[in-house]
Amino acid sequence: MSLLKITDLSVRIGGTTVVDEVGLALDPGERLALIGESGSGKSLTALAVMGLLPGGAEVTGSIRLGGQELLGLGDRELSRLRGERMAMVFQEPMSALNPLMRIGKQLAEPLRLHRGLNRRQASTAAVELAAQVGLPDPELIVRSWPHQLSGGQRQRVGLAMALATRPALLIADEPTTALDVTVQADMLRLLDDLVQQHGTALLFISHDLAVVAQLCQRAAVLKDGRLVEEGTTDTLVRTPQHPYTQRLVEAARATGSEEVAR
Amino acid sequence: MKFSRAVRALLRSRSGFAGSVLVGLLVLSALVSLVWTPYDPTLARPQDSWLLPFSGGHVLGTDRLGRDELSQLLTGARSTLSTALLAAAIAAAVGLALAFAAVLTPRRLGAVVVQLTDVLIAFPVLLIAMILTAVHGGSTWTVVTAIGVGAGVNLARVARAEAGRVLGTDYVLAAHAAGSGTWRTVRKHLLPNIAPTLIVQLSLVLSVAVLAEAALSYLGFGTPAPAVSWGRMLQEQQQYVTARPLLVIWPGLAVAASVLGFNLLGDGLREATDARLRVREVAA
Repeated sequence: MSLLKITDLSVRIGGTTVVDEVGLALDPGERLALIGESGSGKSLTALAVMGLLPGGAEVTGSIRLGGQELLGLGDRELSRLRGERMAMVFQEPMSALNPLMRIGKQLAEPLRLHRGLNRRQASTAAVELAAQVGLPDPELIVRSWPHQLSGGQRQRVGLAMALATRPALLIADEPTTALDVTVQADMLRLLDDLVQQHGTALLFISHDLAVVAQLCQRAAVLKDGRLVEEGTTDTLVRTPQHPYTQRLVEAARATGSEEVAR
Repeated sequence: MKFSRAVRALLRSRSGFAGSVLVGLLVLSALVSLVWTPYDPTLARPQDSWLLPFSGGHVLGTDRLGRDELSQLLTGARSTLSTALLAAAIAAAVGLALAFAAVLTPRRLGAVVVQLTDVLIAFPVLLIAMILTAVHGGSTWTVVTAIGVGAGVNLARVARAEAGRVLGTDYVLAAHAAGSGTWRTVRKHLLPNIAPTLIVQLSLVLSVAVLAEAALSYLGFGTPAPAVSWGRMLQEQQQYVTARPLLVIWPGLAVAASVLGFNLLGDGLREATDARLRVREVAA
């Protein structure tokens, strides 16, 4: 059975349909990329899964996580699932951490929320988490403030936070877009490793076909809120059907990505 | 730690230092008056009326009823300070409650709260205070409530804007994504991040409260008689201003210095918090 099954998901904000009858399925441990330009509704689809859409958004359809319907759940039930069964990494590492909270406290926040760790245990766990994502000098890092970290380091913190409780589903919303190219590669490798290790299912949101080709077996292409094409990443790259996908492939070839050019 | 660094930044700025000194004087006067005043500030001694400064042991002289001016000034600091602090506390409670009601409740309810706040802002604080006193009679609590609520609705507008900004940030979204409930997010992420703005605003509320308390007492709506208040000292002496101008100047100066003190403190706090932001950006 699929871990995540989205059927006929529509999101309307202020009378505009921004996600239009999208259907996706994700098996446990599987990786699916959601590709599309900005405004195509890929981030909103992700936020809909997390139940984090802005107030005033109308959602219809169905989102099931492990067989449980998520739409219509109360905030309390959703809070219990968020960070426990499903977690999210955000695009902007600069703003995704509370500037007034030390790294260690933020790292351990999901564990304190869902595993009931006390302060002592949490601070030990934070050091382990920091080490797991390859942050240098974890003992020091957990005591520093977000502004003292580089973008790449902050994104590692974000990833460590998201994976702290070993969720079944990880949603990564363009986690490398805001990073330097060199750091991007490291980050992707880390994401690849950790997801593999923990057997986490990954919903990877990106506009970059080259990155997607490295990381995901399957991909779905969104355009103007509609799902226009879906298949294995290989097929999508070799024989793109939809004109928009064809353009994406061409764009990736033009920038000289090896995986796509092959 | 962060706190001591903020205090150091505050004292480094010129206005922050001057404000701290003036507010410090006010607090000191109030505290001293609790344990010692040269004379009983309310004791009328007709045989000693209209004494000039430095005569008969009265440093600032005495008034029409022979009450010691310095003792009254020191004791007056008490009601000024307590009114200001209580009003600020009420303003903080009212302001935060309204701001959170506006941003955390469903959109339609929030809009009603916003409208209500805007309507309440239209009423001048002094007017609310006078209406309340007319209905309930003058008492410290009427004054404090009126000033607190009046300043609170103004504070609500600023707090709402700030809270809205913070709630829109990625780290609040990230906290929710990690499973943090609404109240936990408010406590751990929202409050600490709007605190700098709120503290600056509250120091300005304090200065408004000092002025409003003096004005109300002057108009006879303030703290009732046995308690000493700078506003009432002004009002009692104003008939004799040509004969004994100093007796009016002292309480007037005290009010002005307190208002100036809280204002400068607010400016200093703003600079201190801004400076902290700048340091952060450089380090980032």
